[in-house]
Amino acid sequence: MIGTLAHVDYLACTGKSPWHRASALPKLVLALALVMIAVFAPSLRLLIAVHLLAWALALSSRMPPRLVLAAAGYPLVFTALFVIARWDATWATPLRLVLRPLTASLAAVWLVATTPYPDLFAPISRVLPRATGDGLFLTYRALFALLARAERLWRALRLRGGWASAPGRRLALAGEGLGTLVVHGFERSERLYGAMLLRGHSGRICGCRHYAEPTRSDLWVAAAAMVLGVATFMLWRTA
Amino acid sequence: MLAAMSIPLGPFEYHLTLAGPIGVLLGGAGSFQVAFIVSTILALMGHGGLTVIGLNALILGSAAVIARGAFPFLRHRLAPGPSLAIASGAGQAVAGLLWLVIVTVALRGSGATTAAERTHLAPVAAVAIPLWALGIVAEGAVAWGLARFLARVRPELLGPAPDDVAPRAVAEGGAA
Repeated sequence: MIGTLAHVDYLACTGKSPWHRASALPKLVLALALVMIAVFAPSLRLLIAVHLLAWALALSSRMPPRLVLAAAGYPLVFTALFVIARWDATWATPLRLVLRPLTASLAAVWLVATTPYPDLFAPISRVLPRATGDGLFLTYRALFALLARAERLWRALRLRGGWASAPGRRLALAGEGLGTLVVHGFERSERLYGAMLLRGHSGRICGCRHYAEPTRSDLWVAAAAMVLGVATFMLWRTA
Repeated sequence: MLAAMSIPLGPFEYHLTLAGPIGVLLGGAGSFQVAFIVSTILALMGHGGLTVIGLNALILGSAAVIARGAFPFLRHRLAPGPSLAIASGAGQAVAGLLWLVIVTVALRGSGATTAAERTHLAPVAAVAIPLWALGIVAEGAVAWGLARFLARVRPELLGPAPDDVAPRAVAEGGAA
């Protein structure tokens, strides 16, 4: 998990595609529009068109195909349950059930892999309660250190024979290991808050607004939005 | 919560949520915030639905709130390990039940009219119920170890011990 997260984060900050140069707000709006149309599309043709657009966005962002496939494939297991539960001996219902989450997942990964997290979370935190918005920033900031620590802990537990015992004992040992992570997390957050107060923390973490500053690459986002709009207009009432 | 989710357990790669311990450590309101943040980050990474962030947060948060409510009651009767294990297991049980109810309602209410369109809940139940039971046991066992460790290293994180409550109440009453 940490490898995927770190890879996506690295791509968001260092990517060179037009999507990376575009500002965050139009991309956020486009991704939301993609998800909403995928969810509410009454027509299968429209759903397929939106899905193809999501693939086009993901592949043109120069993400490694392995990462795109992993993101696209993640909801498949869970969706399979719904496909079985709603099986009606047609191909249209399963296709509809599969395409909706896949489109949403691809749109989310395209957005995250082309937008650095401060730019992505700044507009989201504007519509959230302040504590929750700030929590998003701080959690993401601490996430990689905590995940790396969790992985080291897990490796140490395996190397020292932590997995050689009975399953119940193994889980209790895992809990004790996670206890060190909890203590570390508390101490780290206390230190961080102290440092923020020393540096004059005003109560809001990100007041920046450059997520909304227009760039020339926003034209690419506008073009994609136009394709989505035309497809929706033409295919909404088809079968 | 996210760090715990990064650790796959066993052949099924079950991912812990640690909702119970989070509820006990952070309280009810804080747990809902944490659940929302975790669900949002996971959804943005493609690990979870964007349109069900709120639902996921409510289900995870409810597990935390149940554990938070049960823990002080159990703590007066049992050691920290079993108290947190039972509280986490209870939270996980309620959260799993909520999830099953929501999925059932969603499948039943999806406009099926003909016999061919009727939902087949048995296969869903055959997968979901064993996973639910496994989740209760795994979360409880991990919470046991977690509480045992915290009780030794930072007991104040688990709240006041039962022995501390009575003398403090007497002292506060005496001071008043």
